[in-house]
Amino acid sequence: MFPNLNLPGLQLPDLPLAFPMGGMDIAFYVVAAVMLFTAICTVAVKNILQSAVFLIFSFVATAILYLLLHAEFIALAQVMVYVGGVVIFVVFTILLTSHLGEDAFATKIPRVFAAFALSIAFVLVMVKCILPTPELASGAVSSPENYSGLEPIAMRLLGYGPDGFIIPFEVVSILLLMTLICAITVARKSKDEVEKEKAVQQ
Amino acid sequence: MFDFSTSHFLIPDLLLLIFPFIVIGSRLFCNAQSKMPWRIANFGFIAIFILLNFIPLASGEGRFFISNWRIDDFGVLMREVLLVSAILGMWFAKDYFEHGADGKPQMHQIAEFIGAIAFATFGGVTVVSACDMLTFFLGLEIATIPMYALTAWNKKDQLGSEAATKYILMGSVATAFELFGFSYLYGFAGSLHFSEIQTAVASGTSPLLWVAVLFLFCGIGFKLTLFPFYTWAPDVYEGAPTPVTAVLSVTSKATAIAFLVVLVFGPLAPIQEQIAPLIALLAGTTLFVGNLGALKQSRLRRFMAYSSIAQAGYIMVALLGPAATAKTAIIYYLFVYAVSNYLAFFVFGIIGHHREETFASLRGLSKQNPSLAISLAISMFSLAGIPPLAGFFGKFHLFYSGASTGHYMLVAFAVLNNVLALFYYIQLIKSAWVDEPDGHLTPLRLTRRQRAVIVALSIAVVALGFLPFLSNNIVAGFSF
Amino acid sequence: MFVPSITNPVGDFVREMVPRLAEYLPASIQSDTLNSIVAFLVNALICVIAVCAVNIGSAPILIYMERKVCAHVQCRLGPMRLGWHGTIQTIADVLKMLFKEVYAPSGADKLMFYLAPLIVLIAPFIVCALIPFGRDLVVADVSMGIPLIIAVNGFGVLGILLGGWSSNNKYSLLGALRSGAQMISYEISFTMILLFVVMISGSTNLMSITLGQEGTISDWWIFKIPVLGIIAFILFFISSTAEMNRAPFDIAEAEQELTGGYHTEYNGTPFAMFYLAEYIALVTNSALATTCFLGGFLPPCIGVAFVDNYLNMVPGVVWFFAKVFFMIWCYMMVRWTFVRPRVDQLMDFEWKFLLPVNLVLLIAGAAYIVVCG
Repeated sequence: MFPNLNLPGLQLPDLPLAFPMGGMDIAFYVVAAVMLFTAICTVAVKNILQSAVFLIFSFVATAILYLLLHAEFIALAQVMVYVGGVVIFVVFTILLTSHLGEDAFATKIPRVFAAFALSIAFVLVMVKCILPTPELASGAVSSPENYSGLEPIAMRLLGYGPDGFIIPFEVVSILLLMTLICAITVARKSKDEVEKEKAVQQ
Repeated sequence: MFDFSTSHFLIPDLLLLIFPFIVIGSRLFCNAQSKMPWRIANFGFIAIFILLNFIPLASGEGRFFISNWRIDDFGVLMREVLLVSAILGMWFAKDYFEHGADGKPQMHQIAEFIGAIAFATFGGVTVVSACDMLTFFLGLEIATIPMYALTAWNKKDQLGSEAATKYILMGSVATAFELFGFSYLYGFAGSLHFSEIQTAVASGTSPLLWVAVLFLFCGIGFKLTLFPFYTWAPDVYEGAPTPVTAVLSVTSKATAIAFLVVLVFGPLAPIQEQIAPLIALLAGTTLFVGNLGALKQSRLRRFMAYSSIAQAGYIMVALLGPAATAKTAIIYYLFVYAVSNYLAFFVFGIIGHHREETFASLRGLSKQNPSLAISLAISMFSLAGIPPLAGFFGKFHLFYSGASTGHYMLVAFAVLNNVLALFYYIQLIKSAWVDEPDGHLTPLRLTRRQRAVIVALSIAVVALGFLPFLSNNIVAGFSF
Repeated sequence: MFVPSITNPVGDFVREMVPRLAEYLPASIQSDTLNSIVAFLVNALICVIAVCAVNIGSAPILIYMERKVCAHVQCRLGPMRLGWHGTIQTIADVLKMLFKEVYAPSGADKLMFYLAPLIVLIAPFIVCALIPFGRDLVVADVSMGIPLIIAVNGFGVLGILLGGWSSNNKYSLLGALRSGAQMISYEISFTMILLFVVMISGSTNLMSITLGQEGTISDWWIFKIPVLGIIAFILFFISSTAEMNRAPFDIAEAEQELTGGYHTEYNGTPFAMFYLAEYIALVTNSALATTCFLGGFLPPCIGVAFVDNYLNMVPGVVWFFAKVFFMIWCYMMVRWTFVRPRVDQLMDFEWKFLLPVNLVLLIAGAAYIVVCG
């Protein structure tokens, strides 16, 4: 469909595009476009809170991409963790930090330009690296039936065998508990601080 | 003797896992002034260290627990290094909970502090025991996150908070890079398990793999303070409380280097030759920049930061060698580095009790307390790599490992750099031995613990060097 | 080409009818694929209309009900003039509200200001689509129903936070922050109890959770696990009340302190949407409680064949709505009975009481399953 461009030094492999196609493909391109648009808005918008909101939509679009790949649990986990957790905390932090959400923050033009050039270069490198991957041209590698269902994931996550992930699962709980302990220790007020505050109030 | 069979090898890890909870939990049952958590912590750490020494070092692939928790020789020795670091760090930190130092207020909550150090140690243990990328990554995170909190332990110290903020920001960026690298590695290999990744890597490379390797090295570069990513280190080392700086420069560094060792000699082993130029470049630039930066410092902790950056560069040189030689060299050097570094920090800590931690405060030390000055000289010479101290043999092993695969240029460059390093280490010794004090010197007080530890560490640094066959003995039983 | 299909009698009927109607079209544009696509679209439209009808239609009824319940609790009569017993009163109020001029306060972030009410509406609508109203009456019979509910609940907090911030009003911001803190705290308990339900029923699909309670009234999850079920139900009731920001946990609005909380500056249609979201949340939470604890659309059989036969003759959807309205009545009675706690008391209650109890409940549930299950 695409004529092979025979420019010297530019050897594009056959692009794995089969346009136009079924509803799934249309859905993919629509969601991907939305995701890109919101991602760009996230960094382009001046107001930091709007930025956070666009970030959410970008995450939701990512979740829909996962859904299209039949990874339902990952998609839901994405929404749960990012929309229900991370971004809410980001928004909270913005709201609690005085006036941070209200003034627009400006970056200098050379910086913007440098960042832009860097990201374009990065995208080009990534495209160059990823396109030759054989799986892309031959179509998706299909996983076994119900591989990403809740139950198989749970069985693998809690499995003791060579394929099981019980160790990372438990290690994550240690990580979270440890983070909690460290955060509370650093954040909590010592007794004399509390008394001082009470004295100020009275 | 009690029976310490194969299935018991997991006991030290499990103890280390529940140990911080016991220490922190013991706070609930005794009052704030109680010595209980401190005693439990001492007993626990030392017991774990002793138990680790019971594990015999002679096995190939290592032993597997729950299918995916590997305990091999490198892992056991790494655990010992990490525990030595944790014990020394704990002893060093104790005084900072009794009085302020270096213009910073007294610290609080020793139980949680020790707990955090134990968590970081467990993170390092997880890194060396991991068989899949997920555990591997989580281990690195467990080793890093307590460090963020430890850096900000002194809430009243603004510099500490600033340092912690910088550290968290830099650390999260590094984590993002790492995750990116891991995800591409997964995309390349189609599996999280090291053995399968190794098979996939051995059967052919693709650009995807190079992207993954690049990202992984970027990410770990932050944690190991390699050249383009080292900029946070001086600020964080300077802003953190002194004991945290000490722990940071040993535990965190040991974990990061263990991460690289596991990565380079594990899943990426088939392409070690191809990534050698990258390692060589990072090693060369890092040790050069570290040495260059250390030249102009006047604050002791900042100086130690640059010194440790340079040391990271030296350790990287060993990664070029064959697996067995490199692992041996790195383990031995880490032992030596931990001992020398803590010796230096103990001396700095005693000086920093009443004075600022600068080069100027060291003046007149040789007259006021010659034994302390001798200890300082020993540790500095060891860090600089002067024979017959331990540091020399450690560096010798590192360079030997690098040279054994023919990277003579890099080794020559590193040796030349060592001369540069000698210059600033001697500067420090000069201010302790030659320079006259400005005026009246505040007296130095040593507690019994400090005196004992300094004597023990000085002997260790000298003995590890004087008896190089001993170091051979430690590592002789280990074959990979 | 893959065309998703909706499997229920209505869906089957549409699939049957579309090809028959398509025969009247010119032959050139007839194809099976086209038919299935059209059938799917028609089905989807029916689903959307059904969800909207249940949600939007129930709001005026609930507002009327709330006024009446409130009035009778306070020994009043409530609306009596417009229509029979004031039945048209609510509709008149809704019409008045919809015809109001919509404007944003000066200095408000317009985009966020109008986006917030829309975001708040996401969660109730999605949850409503998951609930099985009858044996065949469910819009989306997804296997991961409970995780989906937990996931979309986050949007509610977001909408409230945005609404409060973008109003450019201190009271709004305070209300939004309070409300956000409250909702994310109680979300944990809410999620834990849903997890308890998942654990005892062994499924995350709401339909199979319902069908797992088939039998007599003692097979409902509230009674099947002795004591624990009732405790879980009460905890669910408390945490969902807080999750909905309803009195007695309405510190977000707290008229006396905050002049109305996050929606102080809203009027007209955007305000109506916030209001709607609250009432839809009431319906969906009641429906969730019904599905998870009270047997969903199953009739309350008592094990006596003679009575059960009559009970079984009533369609499931009637039982479902009867239970839902009973739950709503409970929520309303609680609202007009209890006093509002202070903001710190509320947080203490969640973190120091509800959460530990939930954890213990989870462990006890697991122990019960291991021992008796």
